[in-house]
Amino acid sequence: MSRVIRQRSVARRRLVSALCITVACAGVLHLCAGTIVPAKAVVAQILLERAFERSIVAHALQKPWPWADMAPIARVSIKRLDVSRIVLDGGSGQAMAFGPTLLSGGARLGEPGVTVLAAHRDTHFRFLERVRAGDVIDVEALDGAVRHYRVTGAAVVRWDRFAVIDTPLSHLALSTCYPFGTVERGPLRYIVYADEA
Amino acid sequence: MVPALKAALADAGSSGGPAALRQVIFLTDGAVSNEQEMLATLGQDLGRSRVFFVGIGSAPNAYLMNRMATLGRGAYTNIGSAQEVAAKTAQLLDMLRHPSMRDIKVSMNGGALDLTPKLLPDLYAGQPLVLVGKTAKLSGTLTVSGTIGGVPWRQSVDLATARPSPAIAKLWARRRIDDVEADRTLGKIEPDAADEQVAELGIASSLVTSQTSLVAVDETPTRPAGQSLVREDLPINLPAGWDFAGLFGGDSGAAAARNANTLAARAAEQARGLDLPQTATGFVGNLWQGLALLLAGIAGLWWQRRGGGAA
Repeated sequence: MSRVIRQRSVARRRLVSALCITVACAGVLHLCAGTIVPAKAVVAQILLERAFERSIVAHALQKPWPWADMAPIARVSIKRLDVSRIVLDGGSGQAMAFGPTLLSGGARLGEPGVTVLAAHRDTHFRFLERVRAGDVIDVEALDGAVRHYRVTGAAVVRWDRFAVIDTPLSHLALSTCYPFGTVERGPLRYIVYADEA
Repeated sequence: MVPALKAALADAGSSGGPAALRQVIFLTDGAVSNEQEMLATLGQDLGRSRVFFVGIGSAPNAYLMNRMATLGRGAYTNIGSAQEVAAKTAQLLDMLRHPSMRDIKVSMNGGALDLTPKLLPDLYAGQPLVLVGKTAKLSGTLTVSGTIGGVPWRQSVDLATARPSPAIAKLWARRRIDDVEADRTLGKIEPDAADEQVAELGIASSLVTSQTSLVAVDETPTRPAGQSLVREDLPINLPAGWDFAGLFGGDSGAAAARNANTLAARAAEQARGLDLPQTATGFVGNLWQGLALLLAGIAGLWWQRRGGGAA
């Protein structure tokens, strides 16, 4: 009788142990999945920075790693905040894991119209929260030329309520998700506007 | 204005204890430009505060102020001219001094009733609680509960004695549309779904909404026979008390005002819609979830080992 009870309790204990170990393993997997995002964002920027320097020297697009399906096209920096990001061409969600991307719906960099750059609010464009009107954004192109943009303001819009206008001047719009510091995905986007100075 | 609103809503929680009523009064000329940001802030950071809006001048954005007051669970007061200041302010302050019932909840017992508004405000002295409901069959009891001066209060109404009214149907639809708009602002429903719901409600109750209009067709011709149609821009008047020079600046004011409408129309024509991509990786959420699971697993093992040792 007592042996039967003991066997049962042993079986139950094994089951609970297995369950606990499964939960802990799931936790480790989640942690890995969570860590890989910022790690990828930081490492990719370092490789992109090198590829960008090579591109300037070679006067041609250089891929950051052999199998990359995108290339760096510019360096965006704000001296006041001491931030610098390498911008990629093509606004696919894939490329955005590595850096801010140029949205194909907007103007090309430095051309008349509104150039729209988008990046993740919890990695590359986290600093947008700290950008103020009057800040100067430097955009260095592949030919080494640097253009200066002055921030005019910021706005919050829905992702499907944004429009760019056709103007003879060059404008910059930096887009990321809003609100900052939250985890949920939402419909709102934070846009920082800047005019060429 | 968002930083000011955020600062006002930041609640240390210590002031006056948890039972205190936190009332915020927001005074503005009503020319609010960053609507979405203001509404989102209210929806997110409201906490236990109640926000009251006071719009000054002949043309504050009353629609927005009303919506903000609904989300802020307060009320909206419009002060149209200098003569009204004393009367309207006294009224508002009098109201704020006499909160009567808080934490109002409504529940149904037997039978179903589609009630509106969803966001129930606090009641102040002399204010009625007006609920509008829609149902196929009147039955059951409706119970309203709340706290008056810290003491729980409840009252039930037998719905079998209620009578239907077509006027209430319209009122219900209006309020339901407000509920839908509030949900849209808080991101609870997609804008397309919201538009559809508003259109349905508007058509069902013959209301003018953001999606529906009343159209009158006059069949009497007024244009002389043989004359062709012409197109021209008509000037739009500014609200009373506003002046073009103040808005557009100096001598060029009049010219700018003449051009403004045409320019805005032209700019709108040239603007191209551009969908913005999803830009949240949410990796921080992943980290927390992972940490919680890992700790839960380890805690479970530890607990079991300790329990096993004792047995």
